[in-house]
Amino acid sequence: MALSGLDIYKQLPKTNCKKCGFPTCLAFAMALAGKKTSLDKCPDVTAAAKQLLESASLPPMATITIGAGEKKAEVGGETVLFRHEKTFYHPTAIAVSISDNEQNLSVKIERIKKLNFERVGIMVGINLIAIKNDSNDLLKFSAVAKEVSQKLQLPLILISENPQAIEEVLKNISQLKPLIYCATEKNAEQMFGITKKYNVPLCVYGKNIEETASLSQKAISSGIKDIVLDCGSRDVAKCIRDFTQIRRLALKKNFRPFGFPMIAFADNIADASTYITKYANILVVRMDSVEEILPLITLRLNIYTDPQKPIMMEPKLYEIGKPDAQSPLLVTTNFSLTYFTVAPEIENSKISSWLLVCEAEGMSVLTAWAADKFNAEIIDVWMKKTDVAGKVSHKKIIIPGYVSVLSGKLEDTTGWQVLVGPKEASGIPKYLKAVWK
Amino acid sequence: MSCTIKFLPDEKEIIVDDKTDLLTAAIKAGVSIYSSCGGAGTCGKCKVVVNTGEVETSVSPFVSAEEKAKGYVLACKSFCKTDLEVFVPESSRVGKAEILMRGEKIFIPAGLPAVKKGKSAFFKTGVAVDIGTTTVVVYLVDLDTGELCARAMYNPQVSFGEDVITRMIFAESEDGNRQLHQSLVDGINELMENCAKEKNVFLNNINVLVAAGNTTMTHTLFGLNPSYIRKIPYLPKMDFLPVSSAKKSGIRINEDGVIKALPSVSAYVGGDIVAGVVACALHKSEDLAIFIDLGTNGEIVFGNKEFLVCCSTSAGPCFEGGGIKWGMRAQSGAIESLTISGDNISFNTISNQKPVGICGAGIISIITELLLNGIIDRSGAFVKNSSKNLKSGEEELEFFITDKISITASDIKNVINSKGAVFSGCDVLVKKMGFEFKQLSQVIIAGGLGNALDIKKSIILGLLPDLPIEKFRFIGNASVTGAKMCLLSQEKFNEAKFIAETMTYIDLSTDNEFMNNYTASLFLPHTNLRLFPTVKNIMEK
Amino acid sequence: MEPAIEKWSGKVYELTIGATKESGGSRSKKVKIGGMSALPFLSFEGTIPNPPVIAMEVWDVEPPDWTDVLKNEYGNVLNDPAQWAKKCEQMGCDLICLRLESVNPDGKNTSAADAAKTVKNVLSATTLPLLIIGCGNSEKDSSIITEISEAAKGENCLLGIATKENYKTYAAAALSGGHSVIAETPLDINLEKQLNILMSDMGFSPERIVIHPTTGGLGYGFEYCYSIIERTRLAALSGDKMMSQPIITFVGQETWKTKECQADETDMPAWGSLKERGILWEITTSVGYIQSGCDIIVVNHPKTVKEMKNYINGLMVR
Repeated sequence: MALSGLDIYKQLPKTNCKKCGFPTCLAFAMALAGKKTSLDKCPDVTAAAKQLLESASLPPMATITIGAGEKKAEVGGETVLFRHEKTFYHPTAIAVSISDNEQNLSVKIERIKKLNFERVGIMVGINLIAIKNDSNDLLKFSAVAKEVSQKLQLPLILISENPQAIEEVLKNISQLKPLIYCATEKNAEQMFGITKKYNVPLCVYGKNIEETASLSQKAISSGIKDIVLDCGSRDVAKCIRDFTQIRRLALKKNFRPFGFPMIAFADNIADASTYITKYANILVVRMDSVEEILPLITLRLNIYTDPQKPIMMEPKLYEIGKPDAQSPLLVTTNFSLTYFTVAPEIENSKISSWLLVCEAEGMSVLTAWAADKFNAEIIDVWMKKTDVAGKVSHKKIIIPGYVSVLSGKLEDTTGWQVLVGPKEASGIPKYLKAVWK
Repeated sequence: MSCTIKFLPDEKEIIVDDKTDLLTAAIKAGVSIYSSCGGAGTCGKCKVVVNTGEVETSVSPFVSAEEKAKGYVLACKSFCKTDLEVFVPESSRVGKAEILMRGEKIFIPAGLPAVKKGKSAFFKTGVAVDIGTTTVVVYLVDLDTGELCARAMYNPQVSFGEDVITRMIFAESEDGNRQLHQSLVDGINELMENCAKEKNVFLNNINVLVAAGNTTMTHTLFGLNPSYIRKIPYLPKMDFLPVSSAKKSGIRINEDGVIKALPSVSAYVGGDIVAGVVACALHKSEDLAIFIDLGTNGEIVFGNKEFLVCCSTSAGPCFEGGGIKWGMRAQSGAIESLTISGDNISFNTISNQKPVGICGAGIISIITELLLNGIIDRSGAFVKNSSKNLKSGEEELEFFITDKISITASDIKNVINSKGAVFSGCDVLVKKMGFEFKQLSQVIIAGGLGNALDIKKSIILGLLPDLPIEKFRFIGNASVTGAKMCLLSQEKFNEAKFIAETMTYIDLSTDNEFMNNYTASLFLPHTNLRLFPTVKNIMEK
Repeated sequence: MEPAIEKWSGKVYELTIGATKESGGSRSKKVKIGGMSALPFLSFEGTIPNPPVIAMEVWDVEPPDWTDVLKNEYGNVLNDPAQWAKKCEQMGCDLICLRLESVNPDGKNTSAADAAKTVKNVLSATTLPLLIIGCGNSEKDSSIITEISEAAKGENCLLGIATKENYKTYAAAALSGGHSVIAETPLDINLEKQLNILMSDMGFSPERIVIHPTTGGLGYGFEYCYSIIERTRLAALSGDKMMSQPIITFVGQETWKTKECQADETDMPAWGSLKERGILWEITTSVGYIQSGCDIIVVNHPKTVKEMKNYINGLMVR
């Protein structure tokens, strides 16, 4: 069970020494409970307390690293069933599969290289490559794995139930820490041995969840720590039921054999989307075209967004009604509630308008102003970014009444005439009707 | 170009240039005009009538065509072109409330822990001040006998803005900070002089003043610019304000006297709250309790002797009568309770005087009655044709209590916002620490909303948690009580320091849980009726 | 190993849309939604009597901003709502969602009587149950809804979209015409519940409400709606009667206006085939909403309808 802030506080020195960077021990304890800081920031915690706090904060689901270096993928470590309860931490690692029988390997590699996109300012893409030993040829398997890892620089999943095949690859690239797929009832002992010898993560496969649990338990008993689970279902309906069971048992019942990330396989976009929403930590897909991967990556980005952050609007110039060059221009922050209070009131005024929503870390006007995130410079930057000068001809901008203090500075910075609007959104219709003629 | 402006009915004159707006001119001339937005032209409260002369003014949605024809302008948006004669209508004058306030007996709460005199009580007479955003209260205290004389007034800074944020904004304008400081000091001096006169004390014989105020108020008392409070990261260097000399601060006690302020916890939880904790001894409580200050900032403290956490909810001034059409402080003539049966209304006023407005307790009482009688729905919207006292007012529907006094649709909206902020602040604070309301042994309420505060109705409104009535305790102005205790005892002052150091501030302004809870609280009593089991029973009837 | 089964105390209200001859209407079938006492497709811990259903949009004016990828699927029926509805029926959807865009004051600004005529035409052209929604202008929509309700009387339609501003008119209109109502609130679970309470406090049955929590497009606020829907469904299963309504999302409307579904290959070579991209975007969004607990999705592309029908059928297998 996770400890509350108060439970943790009781174990701390209560000196309020501020060495951890927090104003009080309680503030530090609450940040610890929210996993926003680490216990090592407290120089004065006793050894006994440290041991107690660390054992209590053992995660119900292990975090497993696949690969090494910059592009290594971390999966698992989830603590909730629904993202609103806290957040999902490690986005589903998406793997594209390649057969070692692939006729034109270099073409395939080039296709896969394109599965990277820029979204909201960051590059996102697939994370892993799954190499399948379809050829049953050990050397071919090894050669393909080597070539793919060199050319794509992504961590690998090695798919073969043949321990010799796996070992053949590991001889060359074990330092790249690929995920071994998989240990089954039949090959378990050999696979466990290889896994330990090369110190790599291992996926255990059971035909059903009971078998998966028993295999996982065996792996744990043999001393393997980095385990991934495959519960055997390939049908999406059965799979989400099994995944739900495994996640619940791990998180709510602390069932250790299930305290690991899960892997899913999908052949079509609908199934793949399902697994991203419902609990796959690793998703192996056969699809390799950009138009298929783009929505999947976007869905993953959305599902794994931290819901504890304030709800934000995309900062941009919004059209309310059908504004033209003579329409009023109003400015506000990107807090969603602010937007949803302001926009309908502009609509109520029946005067088509431009609404410039500035990036203010999702804070409301006053909070943003108070934190210096909504000032003349920031408004100026967004006026330029959204090219308001190209959209309106009158060079007038209406600011919220609460931040009338910005007028002077904003006029100086932008050279535009600043009009001070009402403090409350409810005053907008009356204001626009009186001022905008 | 300079012009002479004569303000009526005060008959005060001043010469200003044409760059000075009429609001500033009025303040300079010593005429108080109400302005909750601090001169931004966005509150419409500083309307004046230009009798003679010409002004340069801008279009405002607050001035109707009819008013415009009569010469009404917004003082803050008007500049003289010629000499002027300007009439300040009663509705725009701060003075009205001020006159009501002066000379009023201040409610002195009973049942507070007795103050033990500390050794350091060296001076014979001292002053304890509560600097609220909306009200300033001064106690003249005999340090031997504890005997009191008290005076209160609206915080003169109200002319520069209604809440701390607007005042911080005002402090950024040229000369703004000095004006905030000066007007506050003038106000305190005036109240002290009144007290001193009554008690035949020479101010020169007073050597110590202890002030409790929120962080912004404490800053302005010392002449420090409060606008830095908002900058992230706010450095709490001013949490423990130095003892300042009376002379330097402009406080007219003995020149060598000292001004001490109770330390703040954070930018938005100040010395007034620390004083409140001292007053109700929450920091010594065995059991869990919550302290709620129903003032403009709506601060909440939760804990016991083991821990203290606090937050500020920006409740707004409505429980002090601010932002409400007919709102007023708890003084003579304020409607403090009301009942509705059918179309009949009966109410009580403070001191049984002729009704002149509604105080916080009255506002709570009225809205609860409106809800219970089906005149407003659970979102607080008026239900058309539900009462013959419900009529169209100047701009919106209003419920008329007397021929004149009413509560408007926006008043109700304001109150719901405020009560929602306070309730969700309590809820989040208690939940964050892993507790539930039912574990509270006490709910202590402070504030100037009036003795008639009806706990049952406050629960129905969704302002206070649904707990047995006997768990609630109303202690009035806890800030000044705490300040007085710290004036009388160095031990208490040390406790205040300890409280300020150890209390943990929780920032709700960006807290998602709070935001979610807040929208849930913008309903009567709450979106989640399960939190209010006894109200659920009443509503089902 | 004990299976982890949640014991839910509540269930989602079951709502019927459409009236057949026997129940006083002229639809060929009724469509039932809701009624479940388990999270989506987790049949091991409750009953799931009805699958999520799929509606297709029909406009009463030619949609000005639609991309060719969509327009090409419909050919020449886009200026004839009756024919358009017929075509959708052939495409295999469960419901028709008629959008009365022509009444928009910023557009054609047609009258309530004109709109009522369109409703009648569409009702006689298709045998599927109908969702009828206005143009999105709250004031105008509430001014036509009474007449619309009257025109579709007895057909047990789902009328939309009621907001906090106009819910009273909607509720009254739906009550007199025997319809249900879509209640919309902006991205907030509390506002959603509050509107349901206000409607039921005025005597409108909470069992005749469908929640629209606002639809966020994939990449454009999808996650907020996703979580609101999940939370709403969890509240329903925990017995909160004011959150126990079925849920609708307008996936197509939010999908096809995104840049991802409009930018062609020359503008965005890194995004692959435009034609496929839009459909895949609509499918992914639909799957996401269905997995969160949505009961009706309104889409635009026939291929989405086909794929989603298959997908849902697969998931309903126990």
